[in-house]
Amino acid sequence: MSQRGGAQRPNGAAQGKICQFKLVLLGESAVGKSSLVLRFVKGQFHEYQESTIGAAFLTQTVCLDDTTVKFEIWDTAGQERYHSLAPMYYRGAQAAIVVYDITNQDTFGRAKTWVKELQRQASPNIVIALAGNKADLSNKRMVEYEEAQGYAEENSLLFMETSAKTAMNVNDIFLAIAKKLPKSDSGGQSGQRPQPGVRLNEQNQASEGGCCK
Amino acid sequence: MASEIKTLYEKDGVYIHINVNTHTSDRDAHLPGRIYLLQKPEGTFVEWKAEEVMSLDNHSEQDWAMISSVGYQPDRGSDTVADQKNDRKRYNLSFEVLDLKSFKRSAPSHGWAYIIFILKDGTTYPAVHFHNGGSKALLKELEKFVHIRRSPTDSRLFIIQDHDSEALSMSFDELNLFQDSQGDLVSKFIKDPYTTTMGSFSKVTNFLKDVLLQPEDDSVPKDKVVEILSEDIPGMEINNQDEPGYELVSKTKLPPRPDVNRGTPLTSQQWSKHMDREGRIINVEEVKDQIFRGGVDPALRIDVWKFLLDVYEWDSTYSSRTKTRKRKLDDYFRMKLQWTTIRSDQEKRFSLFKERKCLIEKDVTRTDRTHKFFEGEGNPNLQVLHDILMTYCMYNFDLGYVQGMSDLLSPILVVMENEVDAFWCFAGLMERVCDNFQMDQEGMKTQLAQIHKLMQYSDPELCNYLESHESGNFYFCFRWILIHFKREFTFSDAQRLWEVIWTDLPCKNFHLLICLAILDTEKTTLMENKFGLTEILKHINDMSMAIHLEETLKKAEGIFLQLKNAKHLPDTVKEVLGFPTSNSSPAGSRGSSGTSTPVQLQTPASTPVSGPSASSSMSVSFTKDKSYKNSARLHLPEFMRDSSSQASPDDSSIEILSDNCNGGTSNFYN
Repeated sequence: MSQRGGAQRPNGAAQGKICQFKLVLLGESAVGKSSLVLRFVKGQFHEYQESTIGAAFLTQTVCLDDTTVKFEIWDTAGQERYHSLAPMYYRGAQAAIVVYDITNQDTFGRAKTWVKELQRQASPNIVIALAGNKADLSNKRMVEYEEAQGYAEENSLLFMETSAKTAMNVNDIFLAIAKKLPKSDSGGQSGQRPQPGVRLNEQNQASEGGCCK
Repeated sequence: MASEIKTLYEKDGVYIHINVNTHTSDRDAHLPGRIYLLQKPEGTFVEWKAEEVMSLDNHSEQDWAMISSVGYQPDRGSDTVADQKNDRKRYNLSFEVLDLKSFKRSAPSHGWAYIIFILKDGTTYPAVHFHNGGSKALLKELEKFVHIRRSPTDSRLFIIQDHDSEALSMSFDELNLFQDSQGDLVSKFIKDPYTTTMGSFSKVTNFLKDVLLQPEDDSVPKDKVVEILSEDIPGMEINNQDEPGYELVSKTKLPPRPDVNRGTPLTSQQWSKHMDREGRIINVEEVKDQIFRGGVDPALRIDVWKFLLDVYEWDSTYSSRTKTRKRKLDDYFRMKLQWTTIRSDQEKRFSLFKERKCLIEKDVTRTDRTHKFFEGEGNPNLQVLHDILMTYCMYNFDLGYVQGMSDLLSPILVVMENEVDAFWCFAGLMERVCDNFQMDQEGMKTQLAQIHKLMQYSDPELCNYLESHESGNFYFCFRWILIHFKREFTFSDAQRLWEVIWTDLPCKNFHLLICLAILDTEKTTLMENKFGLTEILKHINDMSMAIHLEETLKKAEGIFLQLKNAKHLPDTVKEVLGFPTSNSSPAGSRGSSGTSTPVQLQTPASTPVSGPSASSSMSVSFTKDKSYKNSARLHLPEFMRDSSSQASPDDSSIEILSDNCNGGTSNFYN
């Protein structure tokens, strides 16, 4: 009965800290963003996962020592045409997974563009992970592991090759992000709620302030 | 492991009804399973598991495939069997009771009792149907772990009290979950001291609501306040003032919502009666009206959709249609030739083309693959889907291919079962919705803003709520609008909905009223669960396949009638719906019963794509552009224009093309 991937829920009782983080998935169309999330959140894989239209939102909780990390995951549409909507989703995110497909060199190029955009436009302390997905198709590999790893090191990104299909490294990459995220108590998450009239378009991340309650 | 899990409740005969018209009617199934309440070391869980029909070891795979695949080729590979096994498992449901936010029970008159569970993060599970009873017993068990409160405004909705408000909710514990005790409830609220306090406010504001409902503010019994406020609000209108978070309450201006009836689908008998001897459709408005009321008999769609989608003119004759068909056939293959003759070396130096081709290939492989028409490896219909989209790229190179288009084509192809007809119907549909796919998303933003305008007037309370919960931009409706609800309904329901929308009745932008209707149905769930941005989006996404089409259409028409009969309707609302405004040319208005002259409608496609201003594109004239075939949108790239001007293929070239370019599609031609 493993609905919840490998990542187990904490015991119901509130022991230790609870941290809540907004994470966004970015990357070219059909690289497997939704599949990674589906594997992580529900432990499932659909060979013909339909394209994401607009955005999807999912949550998953992982346990890290005495800390409970709750991911609020925004899964976005990948096509360039929908690029103009992306800032709405990565604004205020504390973490991002930029996904490419190891069998498609173009998607790696697109991933680099996303990384650049995040470095320029997203929150300054955002934790970015690079995921080379579809690692099960290594016989069709077009992006070398070393190339991506080198790029990730230059840009201080977390890096893993993943496979949503076989579940390889899927929980691991989320856990690695969880470990890297700041979990101090000082982050100003004072339980503010969004104020009336505040629009999504405006800076408003009080509710996802990125630290522990 | 097993010893650590204690079963507190268990019941079989609990079904999830998969609305899989998406699959095939054969599989439109009630998925049997068991529901459990389990005490695990990590918490208390509600779980539903699909029953294993048969063991799935290698030996029985084939049998199982045979059983479950009635009606289509049983010679599937083991891939499909595995898929089907996963198909069942993917409905499995498991959540910790502490994550539960609320649930909806079926109305008592509804046959089998069902429960829809909604989690705190907005996750909304499909209804679990208790065919052998047991829903009450489960809820009684649940009540031992959480405090359940019935919504004061929606007798089907039950809200779980937050843990930290447990103490405050004690006075509600006597609430009898299983009897209608709303009257009692209300009187309790009235006795409550907060009522008096609140009652002295003549202005009710969401701001106030929000402040009082701060979860950290334990000194205020928030749930009581919500109830009191919700009791006060119905029948009132809250106007947005300039001061943020401060709204004036006034009486609603909308007349009551009338009941409307839906009709029966247009039958082929009726259809032929509407044709004169030469094949012209007489009484077009009557035909459209019947389609608006009841849709089209599925078997007749193959004919009628060509009229609805402007492939044929309503007043065309049999013989003119034959000519049109011939011309469109030629046109189609001419355009198809343009891309099928691009060889790989040429493609290398034609990156824009290559990019689009890649996008189409990526989406074709994942469009409606559970539908029997597209399922299985190497299904030839996928090639047809691909070819039509590629040819559309040539037909409208400026627009190109955008995600979502394959969703719009698929139901059309399933009806037409013919590449050329499907292409032209698709092109007609795209004329209506191509603004949705613009690079700058202006068309989408305009429509989302229009929903806001309409709701501001039709339901200020909900509109206010959404605004104050970061959802005033209505982005959670993005998918609804982009592909006209294709992912929200089963295949056959989406087809029905589309033909209703294509009549352009009873007013312009009826699809936006459908959005309002669905949101009206979900209003109590959104508001009483106090959903915020993420929960709203999640709940709306999860409602896919769980929306009742006919009820929604009735409600949408009801809202139309309310707006139509409203006195002093603001011009902004009139413009959205195509009603004559005080300073625009008369557009005619429609009688309430739907029999008088309809509004002359303008398809979105004929709206000049003028600029970012939403209003400028709304107040244009109401003439319908029938010259879409000569559409100015058809801008072929330079090299294409050359070849297209000389290449008007004769019949022989078509023959050659059919052989050359229709690898797996020969079954498509009758």
